[in-house]
This record gives sequence, C-alpha cells and structure tokens, in this order.
Amino acid sequence: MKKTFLRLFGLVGLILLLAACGNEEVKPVEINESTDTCEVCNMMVANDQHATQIALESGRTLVFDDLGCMYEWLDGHAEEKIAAEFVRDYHNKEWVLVDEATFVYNQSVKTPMAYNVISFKDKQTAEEFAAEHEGSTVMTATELAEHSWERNQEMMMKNKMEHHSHDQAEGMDHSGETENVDPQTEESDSSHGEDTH
Amino acid sequence: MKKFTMALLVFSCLSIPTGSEASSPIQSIIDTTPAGGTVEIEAGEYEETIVIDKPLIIVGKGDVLLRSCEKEPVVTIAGEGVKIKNITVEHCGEEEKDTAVSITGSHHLLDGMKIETRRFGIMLVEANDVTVQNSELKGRNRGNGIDLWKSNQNQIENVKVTNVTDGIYLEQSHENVLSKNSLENSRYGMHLMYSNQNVLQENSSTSNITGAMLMETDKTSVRHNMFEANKSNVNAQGLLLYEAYNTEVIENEIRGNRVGVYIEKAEKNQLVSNKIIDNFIGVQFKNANENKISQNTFIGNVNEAQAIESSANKVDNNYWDAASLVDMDGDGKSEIPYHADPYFLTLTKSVPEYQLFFQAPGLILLQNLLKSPDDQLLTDSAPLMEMSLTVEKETTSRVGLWVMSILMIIASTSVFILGRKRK
Repeated sequence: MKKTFLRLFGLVGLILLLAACGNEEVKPVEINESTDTCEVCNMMVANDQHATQIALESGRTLVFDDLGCMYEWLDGHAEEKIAAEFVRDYHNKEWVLVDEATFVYNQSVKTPMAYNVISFKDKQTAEEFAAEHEGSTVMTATELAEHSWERNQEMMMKNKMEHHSHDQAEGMDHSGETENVDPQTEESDSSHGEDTH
Repeated sequence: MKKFTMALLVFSCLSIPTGSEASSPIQSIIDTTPAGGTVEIEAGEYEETIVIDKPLIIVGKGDVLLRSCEKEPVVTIAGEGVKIKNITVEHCGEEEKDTAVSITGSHHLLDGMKIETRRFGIMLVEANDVTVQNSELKGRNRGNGIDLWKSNQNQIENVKVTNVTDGIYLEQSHENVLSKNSLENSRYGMHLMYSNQNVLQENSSTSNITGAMLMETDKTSVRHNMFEANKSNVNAQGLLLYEAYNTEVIENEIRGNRVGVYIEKAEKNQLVSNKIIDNFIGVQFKNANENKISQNTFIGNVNEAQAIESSANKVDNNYWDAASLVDMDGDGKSEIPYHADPYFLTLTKSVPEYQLFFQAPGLILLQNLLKSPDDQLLTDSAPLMEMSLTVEKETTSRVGLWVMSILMIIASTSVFILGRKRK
C-alpha cells in the first residue's frame, strides 16, 4: 500500500516537473529585422521596444511590429492555441509575458502602426512614464484586453467618415463630397466609427 | 530689402572670442540680421548648430559644411519664410532621434542641400507649404530620410535619398506632392501612413525592400513612377497597398520586383495603364475587393497574378503575354477570358525545388489539367490582343547573333564530320 502511494506520489511529482519544464520551454525568439514582417500589417518588424510576438502551441511564432497589431490578430483568431504572448519593456527591450507587463496608452507616443500603446516590465517604471507624459493611461494586461485600440484619433475618423459618406451617397445629397469636414457629420460618425471596426 | 554680406571667416578672426559667440559664428550673424535679410556664408567647415526662426535667406558661397554631433539638429527652422541654399549639413550623432534638419512653421525653402545623417535627415513637424528641392540625402539605414508628421501641402522635388530607413515618410500628412525624387537602398522608398490626397509622381524607387508603401491612405495619386528591382528581400515588392482606398495607380513602370503590386484589405483602387514587367509575381491580391485593373501590360512575369479571398474586382482589357487570344469581331479584344493562374506559385510554395521546372512542357500541361482553386484566379474578362503600351525589350545585337549562329554551325558540323571519320 505504502509502496503504491509512493509510486503515485513520484509519478505526480514527475508530471509536475515535466509540466514545469514544458512551460519554461516557451521562450521569445529574436527579431530578425531583415526577414520578419508583421503578421497583420505586412510591415517589417524593427527590433525595438514595440515588437511583440505570439508563440503558438504548434511551435510557430508570429511577430508583430506594434502591440495593436497583435491584439488585432488575437481578435480574429480566437480558435488558435497560444502558448505564450510576449511584449517588450519600453526602456530596455527585455521580453516580458503579456500578463506580467504594464501598459501605457498615450496619444502622443509614436508607435509603428500608431496604436499608441507601449509596454513596461515593471509597474513602477510605467507609472513614472505616465507621470512624466501628460495624457497617459496606465493599464494592466486585463485592462488592455478591453482597450478599444483606436488608431490615430481624428485620422481614422476622417477615413471612416469618407467611406461612410460613400456608402450613404445615394441617400444623401452632395454634402458628403465636400472637402471640408462638417463638424456635424464628424460627430455623427464618431458614434458610427466604433461599430465599423 | 537690404542685403547683408558677411565674410564670416574674417569676422570670426577679428572678434574677440568670448562665450558662445565665438563657438557659433553663424548663429550670431543670424541673430543680428533683421528679418528679410540675407546671410551669405563663406566656404569652409563650421562645427555648430543653428536656429533660424525669422524670414531669412541663408546662402552658402562655395563649399559650406555645417557639422555637429550634438543632441540638437544641426539646422532648426521655425516661423515663416526661411530659405536655405547650397549648404552641406552633417549630423554625426548616434542617438535614436538625432536629426540633421528640423523644420516647423511654413513657407520655407531648402534648395541645393547635401545632407548626411546617421539617423534622421529632414524632419517636418506640423510644417506646411515647405519646399525641399534639388538636394541629396544620405543616411545609414537607421532613420528616415525626409520625415513628415502632421505636415500638409509640402513639395519634395528632385531629391536623391539613399541608405535610410524610409526615403520619404508621411504620417497624418495630407496634400503633399512628391515628384522626381530618387529613392534607393532603403527599407521603404516612400511610406505613407494615415495620409490622404498625396501625389507621388515621376519618382524612381529602386533596390528598396518596398518601392512605395501606402497604408491607411485615401485618394493617393501614384503616376508615372518607376518601381524597379525591389527584390533582394524575401518580403520585397514594388508597390504595396494596405487598407488604402481610392488610390490611382496610373502609367507607372513596375519592373523586376519580387512582387510588382501587392494589395491587401484595400478597396476602390485603380490600377490602370501600368507596365508590369519581369516580376516574380505581377499583381497579388489578398482580401482586396472592388478594385479596377485595366489596360495594364503584363510581360515576362513568372507568375502574373494571384488573388486570395478577393472578389468583385473589375479586371479587363489588360495585355497578358501568356494569354491565348482569339479576336472574332475585330475590336482588338479577345473573346476568350484569361485566367491568370498562380499554379506555379502554389506548387512551388510547398516544394520550392519545383522551381526548376519553370515553363517545362510537363508543368504547363499539369497547369492546364489541374487548375488552381477558383478563388485564387484573377480573370480578365476581355484581354487585349496587342499591348497598348510600347515596351522596350532587351534585344541581342545582330552581329552577336550572327557570330553565335556561325559558331554553332561550325561546332555541330565538326562533330558530325569527326564522328564519321572515327567510324
């Protein structure tokens, strides 16, 4: 009896050990600037603090040039089996698991695809950055998952508005064709903008 | 308007070297010259950074080199109406944001400049109506050549940009005209993001990873440009449209790229009267709908076109050199629609070694037997019988051809005669 118990105990221990090994095996890959392109937007991925990556359970790694692109991919691939998601520290470019990182959204921070979100290894450095830069929002990974990923504010709005007006061209008069942005149209579109993307 | 001519070298020798004035002779003249004046700089090398924030004309007399490795840009331009001519600017700083020339404000002119930088060349931030022309810019592939941010109605003309990240980069910048520029050995020749109604014309973008990249743009006009030999990178292409809308790509020459034109998630674009020649893939579509591809000439592309998950694109009246054509009513258009089949591409993607069989008779037979899935075909409803554009093809010289033929004849007859003798 005691022997079987011991064996069982040993087996459980071994499984746990193996499982732990398995987890550690998922490591971020180096970015190769000459060949890596973003899975979503096709841009070359610079080996900088904005690069992110997803390791799939199949062993394949996807790289992204901007945090926002990674979330856009996640949005469209809910069924994929993901082993790990990595982002980088804004200051020292160290790879960090998404869940352990802290994020700052600030419209004046430039990122490759203008999603304007950066990541930090420590909560403290993120808060320091936010304190130094006006208009920053500090977020945890869970909060980031709820982030709207609005790109480059009024630009996107204008783009959408023009398409919106094309779509509705038949129902409307020529006001949609004028060059000037009619504040009224813009306003009505900002509410529309959210459900189009 | 008064004209102030300053012999700088003399000036700096005469003046007693005190404080900052001695180390920045040009700046002190700029400061003392009233708005609207002219500052002429004598030939020579100057190790300083200058700031011009009032309407002035700065002219280099002979070879003038302004150089600095400081954090600040070598030349900072602000306000209105600053004109700088014939000056070489070199920034030797290695920091990420180091910039040779920084511009804000409006109505400035840069003419005949030579700029060397290790990071950014010219940076326009909220600058409007600025002209940069007849200049050269060289970098170290670690920063953009000319970088526009929230800058509208600027003209960039006849500027040669080499070895930078993006030759000319536009973000949230509208109605700019980029013409007759040459962009080489960089990441992207021209890169537009969130920028509308810009005009790219008569530029030449060669040997970059991508000739021109249009992302999140509306109403861009791309005319008479040359996108050539953007092929050394595995992700290279001549022109890339991603989420670009209402783009006019007209009368460009797209030659010898890995992919000629790549279009993804882009709608209502027009690709008309272009020469798409000698590319590995002529045109590639992915999730691209409602685009118009008409009157283009496709010659010598290894794969002419591939369309993935794309529909409602209007493809007609193109000339395809690989098409079998029959014109029964004499209108110059074939009655047989042409399916550009990326069969070779599909085949070599899984087994790259099959590339050896390019244009092998067996492969052509296979392609006719086993067509690619319908959703990958791009179908021209009425292909043209004759090419509408004149295309210069490489031709072997007549003499060379004769010499070659005679040599061949001699070789074959000698083999024949010698072989018989041995018997």
